[in-house]
Amino acid sequence: MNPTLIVMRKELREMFRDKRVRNNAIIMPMLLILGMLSLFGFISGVGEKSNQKVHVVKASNSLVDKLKAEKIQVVMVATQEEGEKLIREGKARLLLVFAPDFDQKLQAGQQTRITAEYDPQEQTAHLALAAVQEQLMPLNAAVASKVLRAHGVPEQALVPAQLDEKQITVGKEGVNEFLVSLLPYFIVIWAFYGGFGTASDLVAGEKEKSTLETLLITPIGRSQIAFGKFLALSTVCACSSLSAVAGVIIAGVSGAPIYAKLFPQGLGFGLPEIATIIIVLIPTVAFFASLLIAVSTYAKNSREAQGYLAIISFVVLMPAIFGQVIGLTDLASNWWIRLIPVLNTSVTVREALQGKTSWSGLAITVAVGALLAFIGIRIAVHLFKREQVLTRV
Amino acid sequence: MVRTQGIKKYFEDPKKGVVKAVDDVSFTAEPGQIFGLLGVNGAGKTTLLRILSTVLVPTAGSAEVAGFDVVKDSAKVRASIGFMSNSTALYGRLTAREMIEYFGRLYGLEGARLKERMDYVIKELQLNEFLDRLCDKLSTGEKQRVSIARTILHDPPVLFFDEPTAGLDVVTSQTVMAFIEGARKEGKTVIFSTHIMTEVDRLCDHVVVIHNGTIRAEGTVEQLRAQSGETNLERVFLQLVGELRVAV
Repeated sequence: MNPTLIVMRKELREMFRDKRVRNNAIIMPMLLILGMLSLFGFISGVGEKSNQKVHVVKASNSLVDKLKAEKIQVVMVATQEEGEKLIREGKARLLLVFAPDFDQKLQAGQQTRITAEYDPQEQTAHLALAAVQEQLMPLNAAVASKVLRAHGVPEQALVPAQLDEKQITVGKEGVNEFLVSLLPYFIVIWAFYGGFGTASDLVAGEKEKSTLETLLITPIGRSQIAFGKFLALSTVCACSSLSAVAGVIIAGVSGAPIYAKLFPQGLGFGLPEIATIIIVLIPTVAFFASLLIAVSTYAKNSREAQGYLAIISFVVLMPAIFGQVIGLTDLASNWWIRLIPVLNTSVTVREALQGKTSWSGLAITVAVGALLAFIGIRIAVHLFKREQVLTRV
Repeated sequence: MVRTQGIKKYFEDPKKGVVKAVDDVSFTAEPGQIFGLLGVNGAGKTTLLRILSTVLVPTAGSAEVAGFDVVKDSAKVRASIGFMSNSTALYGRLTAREMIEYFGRLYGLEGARLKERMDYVIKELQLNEFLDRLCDKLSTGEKQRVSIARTILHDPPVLFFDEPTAGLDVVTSQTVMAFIEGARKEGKTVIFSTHIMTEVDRLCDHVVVIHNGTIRAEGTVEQLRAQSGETNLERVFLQLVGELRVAV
């Protein structure tokens, strides 16, 4: 067997026997994603009408009936003071105070008033207010339309400038916007953090435990040792990243109610997208693994390695975070974005999920990742070949 | 055979300047001989062994191990040696069997030859009872036996021992020393680095006293006694390195 593969196999065997690696790099990405998606699912459910609660100072009218018909919870209170007290105590989100002749004036085509009282610092109050406004809008439009007709004015006068929308879908239909902004981030982050915990053990840890000298005394070349460790770490990084993808897939296909709001049209991506993700993931994990190995080789011990890696993790985090919001800008269409490591991976994964893969962009991203991985490996091997790999302790 | 000629190893130290870890060391160790390197901690013994095992490159001079130059034929040198030290650790999450097999493969053993050698060391060192236990779970003595197995698995003609008994209990030390004596009987060239005089007295056929990176004396134990005019081996050593006055 090739010595590089012998080293790789041994490293993988050791890594996967390590509970920390199994938990942190393989199980955790999936569980964290599922946990996070559950949280997002819960939060998105909070905005639903059925979860809105409105307090009303004793009144019965068409808007109250409409709110009830839309399954918005309506709680009657006897007086305005009582309702305000409930808001102050945090027991009520929104209090509606109707004019006594609300329906009569509405029917007569006259203006009537509703006072909405709420604590502006409470986000739930804004959600309840939006739900009320949503029901009030068609009611207003219907009355206005009736009045205009009665005066012989065409209904179009209500909307002097009509905006007509015509959607031109580029890419595929039914794209899950939530995933498009989130999944690239998870994929990139776990490709790095999956190997983060174990990288310091790979070389710096061997120095500490005095196993490195024994390994260096074997007849195989140092570049083969370094490359074997690099391949093993790349595998762990890739597994970690794919574990995050698996978490998303599980949530998407499970049909669990908590995820239903996040996946209204199912998973939103299939095998072609997964294949693209894997293609772009390979050079990315290779780059991360080479970087991690180089740092571990340079460091005197695990502790020093972890210190350096913590700093490097911020450099990886920044473009990854920016990759989440790049859709709010026009930057993603610029070719030079493909030259920025990490960010280019995010953009390419994002495009794949949207069904808009730019093949030239994908090629540049893969080429940049491969080049950086090559440079990283060269540095790691160079560091491995130096005497200081053993004497700098 | 191991032969060095004017070997030097200097390190650049930002604080101390140039440190002469090994300075102009020449000796020849023959097959079937236990060749002792006697010196205090920091004398240069480990650096010398690291040069001979090709982990470090000499600043000047030359060295041959099993007929191969340590710089030009470093891979062949490494294939011809077994190296063991007290700090030689094992991979904790591999079993003893996996550990031995891993190194066997790194030394190019495969198939029937690998099995044959593994069977030999397992029987020879009585590893059967803990062969499939993780190295992390082994006692110090068991670990040392696995370490010996790893050292001799590929049947190297030259063996290096860098203070192999330091920190070991008496029983485990005896196992290691008995093994070293066995290697001599098999005609191996054994380089044995130590600072423990009793071990030198028991094992070494030829001794080099090394101090501050240079050779201070060389010969059999009896020749060193005669040279120093002392009978107690500790006093012999101190006399030869010029530290007797301090000790007295």
